[in-house]
Amino acid sequence: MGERKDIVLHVWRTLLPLGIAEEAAARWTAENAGRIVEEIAAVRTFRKIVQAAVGFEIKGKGEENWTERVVVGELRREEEQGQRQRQERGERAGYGQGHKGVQVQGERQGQGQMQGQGQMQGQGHGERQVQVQERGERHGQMQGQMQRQERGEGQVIGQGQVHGQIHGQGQVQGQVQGQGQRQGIEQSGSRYVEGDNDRMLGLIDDELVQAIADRLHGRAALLSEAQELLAAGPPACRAVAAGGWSALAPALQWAALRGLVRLRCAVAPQQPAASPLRRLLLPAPMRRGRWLRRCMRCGSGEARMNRTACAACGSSACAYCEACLTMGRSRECGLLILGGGMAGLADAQGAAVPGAAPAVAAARAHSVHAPAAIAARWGLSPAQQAAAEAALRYARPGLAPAFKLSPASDESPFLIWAVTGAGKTEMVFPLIEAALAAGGRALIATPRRDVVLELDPRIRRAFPAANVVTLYGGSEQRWEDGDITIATTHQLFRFQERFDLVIVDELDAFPYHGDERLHYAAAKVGVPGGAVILLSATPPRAMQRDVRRGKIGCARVPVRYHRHPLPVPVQTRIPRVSELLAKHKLPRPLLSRLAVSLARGAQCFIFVQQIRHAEPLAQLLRAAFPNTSIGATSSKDAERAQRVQAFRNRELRILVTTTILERGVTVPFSDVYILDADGKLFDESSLVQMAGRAGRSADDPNGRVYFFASASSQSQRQATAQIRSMNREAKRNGYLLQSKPNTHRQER
Amino acid sequence: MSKSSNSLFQSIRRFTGVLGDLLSEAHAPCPLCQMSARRSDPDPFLRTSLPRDAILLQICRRCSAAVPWITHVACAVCGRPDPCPDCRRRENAHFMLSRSAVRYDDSVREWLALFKYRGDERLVHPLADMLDIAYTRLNRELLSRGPDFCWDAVIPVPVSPDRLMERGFNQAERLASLLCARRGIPMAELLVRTRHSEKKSLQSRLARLQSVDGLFTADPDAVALLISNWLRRERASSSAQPSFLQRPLRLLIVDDIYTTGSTIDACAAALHQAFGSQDLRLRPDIYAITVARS
Repeated sequence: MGERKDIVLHVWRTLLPLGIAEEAAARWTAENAGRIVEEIAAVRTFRKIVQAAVGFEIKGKGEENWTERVVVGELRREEEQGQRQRQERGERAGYGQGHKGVQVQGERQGQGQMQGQGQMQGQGHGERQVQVQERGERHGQMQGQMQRQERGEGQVIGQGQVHGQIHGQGQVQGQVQGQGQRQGIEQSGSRYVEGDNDRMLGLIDDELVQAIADRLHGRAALLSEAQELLAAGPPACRAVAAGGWSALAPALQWAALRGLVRLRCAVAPQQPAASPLRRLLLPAPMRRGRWLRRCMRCGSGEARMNRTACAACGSSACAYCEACLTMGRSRECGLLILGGGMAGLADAQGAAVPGAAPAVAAARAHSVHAPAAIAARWGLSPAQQAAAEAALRYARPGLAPAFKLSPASDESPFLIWAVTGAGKTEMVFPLIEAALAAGGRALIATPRRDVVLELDPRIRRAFPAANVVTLYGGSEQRWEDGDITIATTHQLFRFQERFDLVIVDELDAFPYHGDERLHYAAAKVGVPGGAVILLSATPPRAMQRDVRRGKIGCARVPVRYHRHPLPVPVQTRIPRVSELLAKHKLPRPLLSRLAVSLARGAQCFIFVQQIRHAEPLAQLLRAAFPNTSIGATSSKDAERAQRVQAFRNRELRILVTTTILERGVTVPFSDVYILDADGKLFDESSLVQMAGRAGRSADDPNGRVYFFASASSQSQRQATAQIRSMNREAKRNGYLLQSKPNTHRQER
Repeated sequence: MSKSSNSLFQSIRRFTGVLGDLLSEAHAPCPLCQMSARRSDPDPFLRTSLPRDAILLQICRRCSAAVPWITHVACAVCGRPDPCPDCRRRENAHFMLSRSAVRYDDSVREWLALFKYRGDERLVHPLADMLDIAYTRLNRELLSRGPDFCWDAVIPVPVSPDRLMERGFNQAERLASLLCARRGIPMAELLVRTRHSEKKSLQSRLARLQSVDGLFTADPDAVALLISNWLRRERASSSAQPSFLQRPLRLLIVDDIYTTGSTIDACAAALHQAFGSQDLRLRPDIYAITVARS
């Protein structure tokens, strides 16, 4: 037999301030270490210490009424085999008021089994304090059967079973699942004793903490958001939210101790990594830069911080982040609650351990099908299918870790470079299906709210069994959990390590293009080691470079879903729009082409640079085409939605607009006229996107695109070159339906 | 090596970008609407009332047109542009008169909401400038009545400790401190809120009038300290009896919105009571300015 170690467990769970609890526990250990004590005696002495520390008498006279015959078992430790058994036998029957605290502290290594059987019967009031602090490793199983009958005020009547597994590394984390029945007058919320702040003594239910942690899981929330989140959850959480900070704080603290949530400052200082130049020139201690404030929620740096005198923390220069101010004040003295990652494990720095627990991974692994079969099921064109397969091959290791060949996960995203009208959404369906089949969650992030609303019914139709949640400013589903989430950019800041599959749509249209916030959000919102897919028709130049160098995987879809080539823009010279408006005259080339378009029955998009040009130009056009209904819209137009709908319904034949309609709008049978195409606002990707409004439907795949400008410009040339190269690639790969010559091209 | 040269290049670009931002004041966004337009020539009325560096001179044309200035005053007591049922109803008011700068219409409501509830503290500058306009008007009016008029203290309306912790600042105190810094008047935070009342914006008029009962008190220690400061200053200048016992004290209450006037009335009542309990000879004349008048 190995030597016997005397072990003292701190076991208590209470609303006493943590500091006092720790102090008392430490003092108890100091006094009583080295002895085997009976539980009652332990309780008594412990309570005395706490009483001395807190300064008031803990309710609990009448422990003499408890006739407890519990023998705290001996714990033996075997060095060689590391087996441990602990048996606890006893009967507990008591009446009256009692106080129970059990403390154990020490190190435990090895494997063991803990079995207990007991019956506890009691009546009356009881308060129980339980807290666990353990250092060491424990692998084992805890099985127990507990029958508990208690009657009295606010007590539990019933019986239950506890069955669970405990894993540990550095901290105790556990999953305890209980099944049982509970009948009684107890409601979880009623267990809280609210009183003066220094007299709180109540119970924290383990289940309650678990429920709160589940609710917060995968999210990043400020305190007020966390309260709203809990208020929208199950009844137990609602009670906590209603109790305010005094009810939430202990539960959060307990959850944080157990590693289920992580507590952070919303704005925290960070040291930027050393650049190669610094590493070269400076000695080691000086290499990393100055500590700079960073908003942990949206990733903005010092540039977007405002410092102010703060009454909450007393600082005269408390920084708050202006970039994400619309979603609540993320400030230096504010709490940011990060729900645990997938495995619920956290290391000392609080980062989630990548890779799920083995059981979860095994569950995922067997449900991912072969890529080819998936793509075939969705009715994709050959080009789409190729891209989807490539993406799936990239994504599978992220979605099912068991397939990973190397332990280090590949952190780079995957780009699907698909032209306008290629059916990006349909291409992504197989990926979502794979993610859902593997038991994970999918996210589609898109810059605009109307796109979110447009995608919602399509996703629901494609995945009727999945729970789809749409998130945008003011959405009612803000706190719901879904299998598939469709969200705008800002909403991504509220998540942390939640999604196994992250699809970023229209990458280059994100507000604050190139802003570090977007990359921060896209990086932190996915599970470490998960899959990130980027969709764009016009990826930024830097990304195109990375693709060429092989840093980012890429799949190109150079052809539209109807397998006709893209319309190539025709460049024509006319004076600037401002001059035209000043002279009240429209040039002949423009008018003749418009006449041709109208004659062939096409709808006409006319893009202008400035909002204030839209309506006057529409007036001029109305004079030139008296029998046609012509409308103008812009971002400042209050009736924009109605006008676009009227345009779709062919009530308006010509629509003069700004770049607000450059993306996402599909109007069949349309031609595109871009005026002032050499202007500063129209860069290459913008021109390509606007040109992509034409020829989208299968009935009229050869819409016309015209660049009207006073001079040639690099963006026009690049846009035309890009469209041409995509058509060439499509033809080369045989994606086009027929390779008849494009008559449109010969118009020049 | 390409990586290090790339990062060097990027850091140079960033540096010049920051430098460029610092140098180009003209491209800073309008504080009220965050659009990147700046105003070219300010309104002459603003130019005369505000100092050269006032932020209000630098808002964009659209916002400047949208500010609903109160141009004429119909009620002499509360400074309202329309005839006033409230003042007729109030029997004995504890404050003398109140003036406001703008009407409480939708844009002002939005700006104040962004400032108070969302906590966008950049808006304090244009709002403080609006308060300054109200102050200037009040000052001119009072100076015309008696040329030896001077202010003794500015007192902001307090918020409850809960709100203070939640928002991190007291909006009236922020506005008042900018005003005091510009005009050189001492600020005294004498008032405290005794209980936490529900957000005024959610209450009806009657509920508002009732809810301020006993809501404010003045901290007696702070009042005593203020009086002793005055005494010390007076003693330094002349040895006769302190002047502020011979003339009424002139106190200015600052708040963001004046709706029924019940808040200001309760504050004034508390101040009267506090000063009276210190020394019966003290007679405060209490005035008030607010940014908006609803």
